[in-house]
Amino acid sequence: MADLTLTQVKKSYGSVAVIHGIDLAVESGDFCVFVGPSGCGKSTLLRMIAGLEDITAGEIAIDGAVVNRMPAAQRGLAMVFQSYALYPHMTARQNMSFGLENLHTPKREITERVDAAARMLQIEPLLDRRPGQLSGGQRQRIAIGRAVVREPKIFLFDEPLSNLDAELRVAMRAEIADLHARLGNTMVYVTHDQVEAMTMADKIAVLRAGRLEQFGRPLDLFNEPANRFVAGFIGSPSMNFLKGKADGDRILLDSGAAQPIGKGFDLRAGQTVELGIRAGDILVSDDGPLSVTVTHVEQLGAESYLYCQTGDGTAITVHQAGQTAVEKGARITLAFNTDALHVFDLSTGASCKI
Amino acid sequence: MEAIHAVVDAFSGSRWPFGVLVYLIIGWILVRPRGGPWAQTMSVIGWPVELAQRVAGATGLPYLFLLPTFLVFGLFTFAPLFINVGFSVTDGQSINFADRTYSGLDNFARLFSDTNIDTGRENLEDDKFIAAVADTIIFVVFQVPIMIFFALCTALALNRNIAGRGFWRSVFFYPVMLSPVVVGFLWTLILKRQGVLSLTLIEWGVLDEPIQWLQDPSWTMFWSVFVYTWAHLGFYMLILLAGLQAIPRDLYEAAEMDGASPWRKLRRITLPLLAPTLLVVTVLSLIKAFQAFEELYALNVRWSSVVAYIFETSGLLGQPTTHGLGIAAATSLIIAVALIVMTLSQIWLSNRASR
Amino acid sequence: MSAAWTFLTRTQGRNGPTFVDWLTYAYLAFGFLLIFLPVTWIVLNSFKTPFQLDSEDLSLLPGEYTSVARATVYGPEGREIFILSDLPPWVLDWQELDDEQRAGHDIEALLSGRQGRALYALRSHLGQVPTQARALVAEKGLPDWVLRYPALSGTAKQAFDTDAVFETLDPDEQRLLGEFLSIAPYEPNRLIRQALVRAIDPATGEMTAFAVPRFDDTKPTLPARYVDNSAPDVVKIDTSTATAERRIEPAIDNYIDPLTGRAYGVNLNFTRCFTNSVLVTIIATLITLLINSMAAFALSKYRFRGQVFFFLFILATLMVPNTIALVGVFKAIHATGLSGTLWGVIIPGAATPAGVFLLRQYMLTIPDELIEAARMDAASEWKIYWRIMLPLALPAIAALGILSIIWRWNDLILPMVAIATTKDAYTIQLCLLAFRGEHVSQENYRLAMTVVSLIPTTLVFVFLQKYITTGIANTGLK
Repeated sequence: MADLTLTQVKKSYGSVAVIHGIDLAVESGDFCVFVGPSGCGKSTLLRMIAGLEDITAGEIAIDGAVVNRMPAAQRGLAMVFQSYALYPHMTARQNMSFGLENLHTPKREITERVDAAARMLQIEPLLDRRPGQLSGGQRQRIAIGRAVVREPKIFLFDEPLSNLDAELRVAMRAEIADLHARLGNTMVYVTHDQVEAMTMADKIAVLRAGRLEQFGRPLDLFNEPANRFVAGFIGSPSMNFLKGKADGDRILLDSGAAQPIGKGFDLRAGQTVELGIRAGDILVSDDGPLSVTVTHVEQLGAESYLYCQTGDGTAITVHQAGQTAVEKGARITLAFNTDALHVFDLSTGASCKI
Repeated sequence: MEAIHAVVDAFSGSRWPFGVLVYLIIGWILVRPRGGPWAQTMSVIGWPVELAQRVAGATGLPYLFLLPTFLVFGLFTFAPLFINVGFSVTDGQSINFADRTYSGLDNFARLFSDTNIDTGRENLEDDKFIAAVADTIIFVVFQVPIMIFFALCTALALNRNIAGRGFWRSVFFYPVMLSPVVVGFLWTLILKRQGVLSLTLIEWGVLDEPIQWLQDPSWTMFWSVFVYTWAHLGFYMLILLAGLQAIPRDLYEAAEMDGASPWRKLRRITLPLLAPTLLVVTVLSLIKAFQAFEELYALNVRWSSVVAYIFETSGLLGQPTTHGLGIAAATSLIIAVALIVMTLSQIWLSNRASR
Repeated sequence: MSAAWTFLTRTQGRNGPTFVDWLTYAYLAFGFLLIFLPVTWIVLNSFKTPFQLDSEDLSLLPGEYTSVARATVYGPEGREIFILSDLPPWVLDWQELDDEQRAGHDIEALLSGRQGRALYALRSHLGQVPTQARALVAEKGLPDWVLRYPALSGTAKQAFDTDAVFETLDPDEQRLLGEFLSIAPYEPNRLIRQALVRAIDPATGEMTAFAVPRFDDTKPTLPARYVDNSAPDVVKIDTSTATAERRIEPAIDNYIDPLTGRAYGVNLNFTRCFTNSVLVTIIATLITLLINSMAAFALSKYRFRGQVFFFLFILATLMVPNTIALVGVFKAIHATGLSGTLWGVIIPGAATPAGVFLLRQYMLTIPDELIEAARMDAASEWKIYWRIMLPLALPAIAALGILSIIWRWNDLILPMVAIATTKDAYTIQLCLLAFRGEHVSQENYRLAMTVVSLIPTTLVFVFLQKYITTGIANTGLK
């Protein structure tokens, strides 16, 4: 159990800066997910926490102690790698014991801890096999087991599920969440998959191009995205965006329609903005302000998606519960749930909510 | 018993084993190794690295890992080049620099001038040096192309879909495993005056009189090239074969669809794509052939290669001569420079070709 | 048989083998012969006796012609030459036997049944004359100077009257003393080996046994003597009608004698040379593997200042090998106190640029994440090296290990520079060369030891060549 504080952490390779100064505080026992598109610096940040990369500027502190110059081995962390990084020439048991041996843990304690972890992860029958004889999911468990036996202050996960097939990924997701619930350790988890982030995290840090876009609880991010990027990144399907101009308490959309918005927005008259609305907050109604053409219909049985296009070519996805009678090519009009509207400044992308 | 004596005798002349022992004992005390014999050995050997990491962190470690290899390189590969410079500009019979006198470029003059600078008479050293260089060049000029040709032929043959490919590859590679001395003795047995070649040819009526093939002036170069090629062909064949197998199969299949003849496939696909490998092979075999010595020495051929000349004049084997060390060092320098120029020009040529 | 034929002639699923296929097989078969005939030839020759080697016998198999002895006996009747055909083999081999072996044979029994010229010839050949002469001197109470007489100079000899002594002896005793003192008409008798052939007797036209100096079927005729001594003179026999009997018998002694130190007059200790070579090979290979893999680990898995420089340094060493600067290498070995010891061969050859290159290329393919995982597991860098890196680079290490074994075993230049003056430290290659220089006539030992020196590399080749060929093919380096 430990908390983790990042203060103005920067990283550059030569003259190329990849992390631009990140402030972040992960509380003890939190499951924190770093999420962002590939190349956003989330893995680099994790490796800096782990001690595998130098810190160019700023401070990383674990339990209040700055660890900038402390080698990885002494930070008391454990990491699960994307490729699992199991030592191919050692059995599963040897893989799990290796770290403890290096710390001169007594033999008996090593055996006990490995057995306990193996029981918990249900990998007891695999302990004498080498990684080459194991399936992807089994290797994943061994890799997690290797981290668990170390009883680290913080668990670090570097996209651990990306090499698994979809079905296994869902199962492992649940298991890792369950693991966190049982151990209660602080965990930092890196992924590019926002669904993983939403389902597992206590706190999500959304990163883009080496900057922290937003840090908060999953639903806060979903409901109150700080900017257009977070709004578009979190949630599936992505939020719909419509360009327009602010005009008092309504937005004049470029497609010609005028959409009234509620209170709580800080807008100048004539400010160019983007209106954001999630697919589930759009209704098909005959008196809606926006008229669109349905280009494609997805019938999933329990729910349906309508893919539409406005007059000026903007794509809009509409979610409907149950099955829909709307057909491809139909012209329909849409109405937005005014409470669920988001408005972002077009140039800065920042949310205009007060 | 004999073996134990040999071990003791062979190592007793040097303090190095003692040093190694001390090193290991220090390591043992510091590390207190645990685990199996392998783990204990490795832990003890690495004590300076462990210690350095504990004291100074990981930043300097790569240099520590490089140290032993580069110490040996430095002492026995690079330092000798500079020591050689020292020998080439000093006179004397001793290998101690204290007993040698500075003589400027005298040793080079001994190699190149027509009159001997020490006696004022005709310079025999010059003749010997020029003869060694000329003979070596002749050797290289014939040996390298001939060997590459046959290595390529063999590699092409082995790259075909033939039965027992692994077996044939082993056969052609086998001479590479033989030591130069064995190669020399092997062929001396065949090529000596009353050897099997002469006698067989006499029996067939080709020859009237046995020939000492390795000493006969008109045959010595032929057999030098032959035996040297015999001994080294397999190695270059293997590199070329690897190059051939790296050429994608589908290129040939495409050419087959286009109805290209085997000869055309060779000319238009195989050779152009093999060019980089051929270049590597040429560079390596040139460098190697230029330093040919061991096989020729064991064969006892009539001519001296450059390295043989260096050995002979230096007096390291047999009788030391007055200026031998200096002259040999001067020759080494010239050869080293020639090798460097040769290699660099090859690299330059390859860069230009690949552009 | 037909299965083998279809196997050999199969092609890429097309109709029958093409002309090019035949050409390929012919080329490969020719290469096979060119490579294996010389090797086979030296192996077969190493089993031939010195007699067979000296006679330039081109037969493939080691073995001797059935031998007979040609005896030359001197006496009052002049020189007599005759053939002895009923001797046990050890009599003919007598000159090559050592004291111990000689003591094992019963000379008395051999001589007891013989008399006359056969006895005289054998007596001389087996070195019995001095012994018997001493016994005679003691028995007859002859003056002491008789025993010293053979060692005296010509003028000193004139001071003694041998005739007076001879007068007191019977003819057989006179002969014994005459042979001992080499007084005319007596001389030491000789017995030499000749080959037994059967050929048509030019006089009678019948098959007869002859003794010839050597059986050379390239000559039209051979000078021969009758084995039954029916005529004293040499006759010319027609080679084409002659057949020699031979028994196939490998001369194992070619191997055993030098290895057990019993080779006559040889001052090189082959056993020690082999021990030295084995030591050098094993120790140098271990050191090579250790320090080269350390350097390769640093060059492949760390980023540090000067990395490129170190790598270029390695490549430069590859291009200009240290053997070129012989004098400098000699000085460096001398100055570091390695000259004349095995360490002079071990240490300078331990850092191989090709080895570092080969290992580095392989280590680059090992994922960095494994090393990072080990760092997270609190392993020290040294432990990462030997616990993670070495096991994972095992294929490349094996390849280099095998290459290093061959390099060290076959190395000649470094031993010539480092230990040429110290016979005790000779490696086998140096030993063979020195032996050729010092004992030209004992070719049988040299060939046998050459074959022994070939055994380790051949074993490596047969069992481990897979690793070498892939190792070389991967890096393109030797």
